[in-house]
Amino acid sequence: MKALIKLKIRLMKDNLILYVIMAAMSLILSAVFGGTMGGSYSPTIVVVDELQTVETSNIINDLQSEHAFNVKLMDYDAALDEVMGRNVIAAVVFDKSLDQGVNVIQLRDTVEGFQLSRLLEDELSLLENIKTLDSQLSGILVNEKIVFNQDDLYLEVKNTFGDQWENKRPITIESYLVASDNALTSNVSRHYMIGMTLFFVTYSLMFTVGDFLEDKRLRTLDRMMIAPISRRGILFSNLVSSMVVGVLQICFMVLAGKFLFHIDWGQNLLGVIGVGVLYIFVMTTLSLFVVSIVKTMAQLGAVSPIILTGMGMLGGCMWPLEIISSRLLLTLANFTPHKWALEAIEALTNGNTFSYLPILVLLGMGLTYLILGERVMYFKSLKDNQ
Amino acid sequence: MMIVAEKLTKKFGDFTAVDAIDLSIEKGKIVGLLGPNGAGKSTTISMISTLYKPTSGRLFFEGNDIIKSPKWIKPHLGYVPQELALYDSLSGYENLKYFGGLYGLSGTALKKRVDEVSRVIGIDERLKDRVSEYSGGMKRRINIGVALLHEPKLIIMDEPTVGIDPQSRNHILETVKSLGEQGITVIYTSHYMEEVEAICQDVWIMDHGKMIANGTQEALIEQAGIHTAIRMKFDSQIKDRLDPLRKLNHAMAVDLISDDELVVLVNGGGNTHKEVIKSVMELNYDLTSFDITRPNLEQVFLKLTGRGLRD
Ligand SMILES: Nc1ncnc2c1ncn2[C@@H]1O[C@H](COP(=O)(O)OP(=O)(O)OP(=O)(O)O)[C@@H](O)[C@H]1O
Ligand SMILES: [Mg+2]
Repeated sequence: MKALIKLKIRLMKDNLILYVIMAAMSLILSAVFGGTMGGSYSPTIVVVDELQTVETSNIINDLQSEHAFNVKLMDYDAALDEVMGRNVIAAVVFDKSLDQGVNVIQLRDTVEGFQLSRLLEDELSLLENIKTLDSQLSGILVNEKIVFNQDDLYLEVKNTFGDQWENKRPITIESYLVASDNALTSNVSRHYMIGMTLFFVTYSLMFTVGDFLEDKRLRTLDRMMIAPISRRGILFSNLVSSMVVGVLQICFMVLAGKFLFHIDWGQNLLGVIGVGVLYIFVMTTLSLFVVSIVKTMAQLGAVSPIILTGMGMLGGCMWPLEIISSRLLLTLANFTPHKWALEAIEALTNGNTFSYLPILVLLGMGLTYLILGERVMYFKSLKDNQ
Repeated sequence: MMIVAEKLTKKFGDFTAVDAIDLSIEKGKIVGLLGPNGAGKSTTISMISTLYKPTSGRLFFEGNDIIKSPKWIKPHLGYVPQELALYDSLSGYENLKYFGGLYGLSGTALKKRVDEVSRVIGIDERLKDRVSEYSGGMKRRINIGVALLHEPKLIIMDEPTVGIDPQSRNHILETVKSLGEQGITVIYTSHYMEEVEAICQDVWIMDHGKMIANGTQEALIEQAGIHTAIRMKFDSQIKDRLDPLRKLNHAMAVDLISDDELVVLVNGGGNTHKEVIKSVMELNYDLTSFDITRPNLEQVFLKLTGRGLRD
């Protein structure tokens, strides 16, 4: 078996160029999509501040300090022109009291627009928290019949807790993140990095597993079948060698992300790679299943882009699933390994939390595909030689 | 017996490719399996090499049932498939090395075997070139080499000389002969009867999925009742002078072809045909030329089936 794995890996060396192209593609595309090329790209937004309160200027400051956006201030009409002229991606309008929300004007939904809304939501919920605390405190003080000045109390609460919450992220928001189905990320470039890595690694995997068809064509499979190795041993060696390559690619991408794009993978780099390995396992067994169904390498070449691109899109590799609202698409996403791997990795990188559900789902998918693929191959081999 | 098959049958759907054949192959012999295209030779040896599961019948290697447990034969079998089964993108050396590895060879032992085998198959200097750059003959040689690495007791070769140059063919035939001399059992499949005649001690003949005859070449020729034929041409009319010829020792029959030409069928094997010619010379007939046709497997096959081996 060891000999067979060595052989397979030797054969892959001839396809090295394929792996290099795949890796380069994912690097380039995550750079382009994530706008991380040199960190220079940040979309412009305009802000219309008709309230001119301390809160609104705080929010504007925060938006500017995020560096994710170029922020310009202007009046409503000018802002509208900018949006209509597609010079900016969105206009943020503060024209009513903040507890009634903020208007975001944009021509269409974009990832950046989504990111902006998330940021504003965070800001607003921070304000909301301060207000709630303030009103509860004043309730207590009134009950205790302590005399106090309402405005002073508010400022006191804000100064004491506001900065603290802002820096550390308030506990309420943290729990919101963990409880959420779709671990939200404000780091779009990281999302693309992960998405593109997961997406491109599948192509090379599909073809490495498909090598089996090549062995059939070359009849070298016959040589393996008559050698003292079991049928399962042959299959296993094929899968292991494919996984080795897949895992190397994932590691490469994680490191490239870290050192080329300065992507923050969180505290648990090993955890991220661990999920990567699990994902590779699922995609290897999925490839096995697909390979077991098709008859030739040409057929594999025809169907795999459809399957892989489709799954990658559905699973949120190309754009965050949070911007999708179609229930059907979101339901379908659950059937892609991509979605669960993204979710697990983002949970790790965002909050350093280990989420079990995606891990279990991935394991389940991997085992299912493995069993299906193995069985289909077995019955086909019986049929070939009935 | 190294291989024993009883009523071995293989069907593909409704089509019976191998039809209840009995076969026994003695240890240490080079055995020919002869038959025209589609006779079922490849199917038969695919069953022996456990690549195909027989539809029915029994099959033993050294007394062990290999339909039930292929593991008895696998480590001892070297199989040369009819079609090349090599990695084009790898060198000959790598092909030998990796396939040797499948049999548990490794390290210096593997290296040593690769060296030995490459000498046997006569590919030394170009061993490190890619197989895709080899000539047809060299590919065939590597195809054979791969089957020799693990020093199998039994080697099955399925038409190993198809479509190659005479030099490579001779080399391959010599290789097979020397394997036989080392006591290795060889099953050699071919529809070139000259090859089988040149190297095989025992011959099995198949047609339409059935085993139609077997034995040594002499026995087969004898069984089929085929004789050496001597065609003689004389300077003048011969038809009035036939009687003395008919009375010659070993002359079974004399058939006139034309006024000055006839054919003498000779019985007995060995050199009896030479005695006949000598006697004719002694008769002082005006013999101008003669032509001897020795009985061969082609004729045996023709006699058995009414068809040639290659049509
Ligand atoms: N996998 C298969 N499925 C269906 N029919 C098959 C299969 N393999 C062989 N056959 C048929 O069985 C018959 C015997 O084939 P086989 O390859 O054993 O012949 P052969 O004696 O080796 O011929 P050749 O000299 O051409 O190699 C042929 O008619 C062939 O078409
Ligand atoms: Mg054949």
